[in-house]
Amino acid sequence: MISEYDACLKCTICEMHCPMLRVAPEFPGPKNGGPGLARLRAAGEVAELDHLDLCLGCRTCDTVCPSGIHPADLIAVPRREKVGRRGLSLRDWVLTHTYLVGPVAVRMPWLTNGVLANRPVRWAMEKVLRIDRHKPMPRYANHSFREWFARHESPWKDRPAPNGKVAYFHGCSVQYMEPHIGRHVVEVLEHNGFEVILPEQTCCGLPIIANGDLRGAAGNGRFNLRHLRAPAEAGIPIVVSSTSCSLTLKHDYQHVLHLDGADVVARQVYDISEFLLACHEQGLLRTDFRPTQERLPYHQPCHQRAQGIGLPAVTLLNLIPGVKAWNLDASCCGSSGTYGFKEEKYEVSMKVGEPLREALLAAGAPRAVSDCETCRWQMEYQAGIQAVHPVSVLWEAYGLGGA
Amino acid sequence: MLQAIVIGGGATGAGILRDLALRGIKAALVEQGDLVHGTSSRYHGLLHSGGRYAVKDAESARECAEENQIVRRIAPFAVEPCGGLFVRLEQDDPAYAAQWVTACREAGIAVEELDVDRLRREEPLLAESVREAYAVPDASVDGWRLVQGNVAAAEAYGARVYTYRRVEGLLMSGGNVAGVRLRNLATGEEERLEAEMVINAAGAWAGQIAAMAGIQLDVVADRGVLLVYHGRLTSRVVNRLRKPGNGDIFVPTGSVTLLGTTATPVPDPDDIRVPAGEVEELKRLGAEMLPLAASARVLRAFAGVRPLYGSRSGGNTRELSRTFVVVDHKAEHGVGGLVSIVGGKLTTYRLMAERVVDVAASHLGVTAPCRTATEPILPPPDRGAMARITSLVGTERARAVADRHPASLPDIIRAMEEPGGRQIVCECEQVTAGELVGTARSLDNPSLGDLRRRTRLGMGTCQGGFCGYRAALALVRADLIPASRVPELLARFQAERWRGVRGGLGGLELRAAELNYALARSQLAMEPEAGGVGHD
Repeated sequence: MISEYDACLKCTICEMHCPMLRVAPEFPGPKNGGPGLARLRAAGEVAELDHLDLCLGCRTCDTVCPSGIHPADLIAVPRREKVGRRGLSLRDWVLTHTYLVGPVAVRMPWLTNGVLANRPVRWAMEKVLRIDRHKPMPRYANHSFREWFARHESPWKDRPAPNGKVAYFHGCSVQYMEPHIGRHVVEVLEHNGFEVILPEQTCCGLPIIANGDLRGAAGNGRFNLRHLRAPAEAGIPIVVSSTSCSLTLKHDYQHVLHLDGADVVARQVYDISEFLLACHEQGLLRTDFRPTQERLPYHQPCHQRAQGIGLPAVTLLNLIPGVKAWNLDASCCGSSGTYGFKEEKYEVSMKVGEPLREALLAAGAPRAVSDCETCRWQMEYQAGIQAVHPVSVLWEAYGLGGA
Repeated sequence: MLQAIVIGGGATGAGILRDLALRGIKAALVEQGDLVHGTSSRYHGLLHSGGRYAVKDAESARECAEENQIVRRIAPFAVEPCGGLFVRLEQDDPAYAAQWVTACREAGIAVEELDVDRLRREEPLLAESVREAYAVPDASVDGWRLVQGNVAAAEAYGARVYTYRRVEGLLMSGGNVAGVRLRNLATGEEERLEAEMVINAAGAWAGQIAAMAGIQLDVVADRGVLLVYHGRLTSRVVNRLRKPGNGDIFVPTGSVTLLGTTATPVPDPDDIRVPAGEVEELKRLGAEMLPLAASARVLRAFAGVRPLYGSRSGGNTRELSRTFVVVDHKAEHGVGGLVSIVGGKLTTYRLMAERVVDVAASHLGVTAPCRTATEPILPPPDRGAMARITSLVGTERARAVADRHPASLPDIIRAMEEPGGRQIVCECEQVTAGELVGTARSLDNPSLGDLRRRTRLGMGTCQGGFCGYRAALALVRADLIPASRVPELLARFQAERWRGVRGGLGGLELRAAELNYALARSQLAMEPEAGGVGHD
């Protein structure tokens, strides 16, 4: 720990890029709240700075730091210590454990979605749980992704896939809310000659980490590592379609939760766009796309940028004849997972997302692309446009949906 | 008409001023720079238990043991009672350790042997080679706060303080000293102060003062280099249990850890250069006790001069006693009106003051007894004030601010309550605009260095690179300095900070310093002198 905060040169690059500092000057910022506070904490002079909880956990500071510090992790220390002592608040528990509700919710989505969209219910949720009533809750699907996968027939059922196996970590939102994205991932991979396997898995744990419960998250992490370790050791790539999940598998299991075997798994984890682009670079990706005329503004999720893999989705989308995709480069959407649903954070979260909203409106396209589910939901809510996963655009362009 | 003038605004001079004032003697103090800037802030901040001197210098050890308890009692605002350790490493002589334990017991120092395995869990950075460890009542003490407290207490009894006045000569009357001739360094004017007695507490400069009366006083300026580590490496003071030498004490204080020190006699007490070789030697020796000391970030290196009393002949200043001597120049040299106090150390500052004031008082015909050992220097901070400041900045920071400003808390709080007063100017040490402005209001044309010593401005990670100009801006906004002074203030402040880094540090700190330098050049069109003027 000492060696990490020692490295801060106070160069202020993190502050210049922090999306929260731009809209909330009361936020101590990554430099002050991260390495600065870590140093003072050791002296017992300052245990906690006010407004530290405003941190979005977007990890922009980690990404830009030229000294290799992870201010986002250092900022999270006081919250983690507090949650370690007192446990999660009821609200934070509810927001981070939707994956436990999922199996029931997809049995009766009409009821779940109806209740979660009901104004008096939302008013009561705000009063009791401090979940903001304005922001729409994600809608549950009428089946889970794994149910679809069980029914689905692979083209490589009877013969070996030419490009081998790929394990898919689909995450909670694909499993319960957006199973169609999972279908797109599977069918795009199969179209490109991969056999897709589905290891047992539970929520990656990122929302729980973000809310400070490292012990709880470690349980999720250990479960996932137990099931991902075998494919990883067999050299099978693990692809992830949610950028928060992929960051967690790549970084947090090792550097925040310090889990055994995390490094072995992390080496095999790829964001889906990263994986497909790598395939393209090796000449493995099919480019039998149907031409179309479309302008596609793209928003890169902070958690993908933090992976340091460039902008693979933009390159992929531009492979489609007639498509013009470009990165909006408009900071953070502000939602940051569960953050934007919290009553006390709603307003500031919307402010953070304002540049993205303006960029989307200025782009004037009917739909936009982003790899992260909560970014997409925020884009749809704030800009009133449709937001899709890049793999869905590829899936359409391959003509996999028929017609 | 003054009865006594004290020369020297370090711990000893301030202690003398308070003692004089408490005995009802009309006194003034003159100091060539800011209070404390010479020696009493240029040291490791250790309030000695006496353990360090137990074997070699029993008298010093006993004095330290007693004064340690007294200073804790009378100056809680300046003392961090962190406790101390003496550790013997595998390569150190066990016979010396045994001798040391006996000597400590004889000097009245409370030593307690510790279980080494347990200690390693408590202080995980200690070397594997620790074989024996003892707890002693060491503490860290802030020289600035101690002096500030003493001066404030003396002023409350009517004493006067004149800073930035260099003594240019002594006023003589019939072969006796009758006052001082001063140069006001702010205005350049000459000033005269007359008094019945002059007390020479100029520390390393005491020989120069005595020479003004034609007296030879043997004071050796012994330069010691210290390193300031970026963070808190241990929770307690760590001393090496062997014959005192270079690089054998770590003192955690606030957010940093100091490692000291070297010992090099220098002809000029103003010579506070930091030879690169001494920095390397300190790191190497320190790492024997705390291996991380070799690689952990060092914020700066600085040097101070110990005023040792003794003959100039012979090279090893470690052999000179750390005790002090009161020289009554009337008895010794036939020059009346002048008493000198030389040697000693910050831990025994109060006792030194008591002894020299005893002599001065007898010349003045004052019989009032010394009260400095029993009376707290300042009353504890007012409860209402603490509640107000806690509501402004929270419990932990309130405590830190109250300790930093033992005598002027109400002014600080008022300034912090003004618009923008809670804004953090120095992030590394969490100094607010209000704390800065409130402090500056009590000073006449303050430099950023004056504010640094009072608030810790610029003493953290960025070494003034970011907070220096913010602080200057805050002062201009509060109408405390004219905007035209900003470039000069910043240049001086940064030159002093850079001096501490460029003297021989590399690695991260050099990178940070070069970043600050580049910012100053590109953003402020400043070309600060890397050499610096020193003593700011």
